[in-house]
Amino acid sequence: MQSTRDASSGLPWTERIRRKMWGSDNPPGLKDPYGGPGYFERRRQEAQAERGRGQIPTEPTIVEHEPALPEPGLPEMSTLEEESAQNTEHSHAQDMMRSRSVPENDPEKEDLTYVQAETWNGLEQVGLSGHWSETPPTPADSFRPYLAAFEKASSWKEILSALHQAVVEVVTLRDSRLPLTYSLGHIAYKPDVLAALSTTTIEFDYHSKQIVLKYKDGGRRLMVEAILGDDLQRSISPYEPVAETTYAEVPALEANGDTTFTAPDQESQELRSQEADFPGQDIEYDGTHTFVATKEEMNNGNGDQYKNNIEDLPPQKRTAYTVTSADFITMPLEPLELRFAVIKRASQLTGHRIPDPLITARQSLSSIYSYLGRDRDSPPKKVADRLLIKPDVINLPNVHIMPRRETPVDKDKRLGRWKIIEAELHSKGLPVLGKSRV
Amino acid sequence: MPVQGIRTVATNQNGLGAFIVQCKRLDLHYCDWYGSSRGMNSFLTSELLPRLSRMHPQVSIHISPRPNKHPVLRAHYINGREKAVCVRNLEKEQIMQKCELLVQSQGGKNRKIRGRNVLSENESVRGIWSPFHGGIKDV
Repeated sequence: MQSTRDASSGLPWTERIRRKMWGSDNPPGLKDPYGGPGYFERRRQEAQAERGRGQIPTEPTIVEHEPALPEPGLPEMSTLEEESAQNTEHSHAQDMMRSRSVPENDPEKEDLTYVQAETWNGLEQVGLSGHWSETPPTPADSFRPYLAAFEKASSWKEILSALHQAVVEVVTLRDSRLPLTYSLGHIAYKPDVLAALSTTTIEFDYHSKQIVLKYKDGGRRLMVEAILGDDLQRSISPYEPVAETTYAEVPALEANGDTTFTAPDQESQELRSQEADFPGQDIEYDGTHTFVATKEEMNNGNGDQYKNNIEDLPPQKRTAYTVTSADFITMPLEPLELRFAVIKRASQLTGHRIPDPLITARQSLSSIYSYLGRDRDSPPKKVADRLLIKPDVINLPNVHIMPRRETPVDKDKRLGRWKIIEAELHSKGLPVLGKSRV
Repeated sequence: MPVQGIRTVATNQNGLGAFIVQCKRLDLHYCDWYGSSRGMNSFLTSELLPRLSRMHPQVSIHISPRPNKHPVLRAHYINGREKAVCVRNLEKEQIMQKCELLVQSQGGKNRKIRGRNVLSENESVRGIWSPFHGGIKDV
């Protein structure tokens, strides 16, 4: 080959071919049109540059003439690749050994009780494993479904009583200029409040076109005090945006050593307006409407402060009273906010969800009353059972209802040939209905 | 020899003497569980069933379940044939229309009714073709 013949020139054979093609010893183009040094050569050069033991070669042929790396204890290599590659590996290994040997030889950090683990069982886990359920709860996670307070009402009396109570509570709150959802947190009333509830009559004022209440023996004051009194802490915390304000204020108040949360100004104004509604009556009002959170509730560092105290309470049995008049069911409930508050409270008291079409369809509670009283827990009746109790169907002379599937045997009976078929099957000892008689 | 009339049998022409409804029986099959029977169950429990019954007193209406199957209307005719219509996912009004269709049918096979060809004396919009007008092509 040419490479053997022209070996004295010192040029690679590709360069010789290139010069021959161009007919010149100085061909145009790049000086090294074949890509330069490869990846391993470049990596080797970088490693040498890092060690600072030689100049970075620009050509692999220059590296060939460089002196070997003066690593102590290294055997001398004959070729360039073996020498540089093994030098690189050995130096890396020595670096790693040095870095590991430092903490091992440190007497302060040496632990004699250290036992190397072979499995991960029993090891302390740092951080989360990536599952969302391990993240600590946030204020947004504090949720209690309002339907979980009471057991489901089943009788018409319970449903009517719940609707009556919802209307009386919400209209009382409206007349007292309080938020209409204040009553959502009340689970049980005292007997006197229940008596006041049951004796309150609901009437419709055609002049103002709204529902008015007729109380007996100061029932309004009793109910307002019951709603704003003992149960205020429970009523506000799970449902009102006051709770969010409270959670936001926790760090600042805790820093000051204060655990008393102040309700927003809107609530104070509403209480003042309530005071104006009862000019001759004594309503306790100390300027700030407060409830107290204990230090333990706030200091749970793993997010327990966001858990609701009544979140895990089982549904309670509601005390149903006798409603004297059910005329309020047909009264229109307006405006929409009042209607929605009544329906929400009624849904809570009865324990039944109310579908949206019923909430927005009618103005009165009649459709909701009939819906709540309907039996929805039992399985639906079959069509045949429903037809067999309908007088306008069973009295029709040309309508025949069969509660079971019509089989081919029924067709044979209708055509009058079943007796013959059955007798023939018996005579031949064959099963009549496809199953052998044992 | 006296003149004798031609002995013949009067052909049945329904509608000339007494009208006989060709459909004698109508089976309504439904399923209590299938969602495709929702319209059928609604039809059966609505006022449409008594209305159908009163409109066609000659037809015997039989209602029976057909579990885990689509709802079907099956009409039996006096010529011995049957016609069945699947009414899955149909509304009750649509099922009423299908019932009317089956009851008013004569029970024969479906035929394509052909009339005479449609002829018109009106001139075509495009006019009569002329070889001297339009794009003249050289062959």
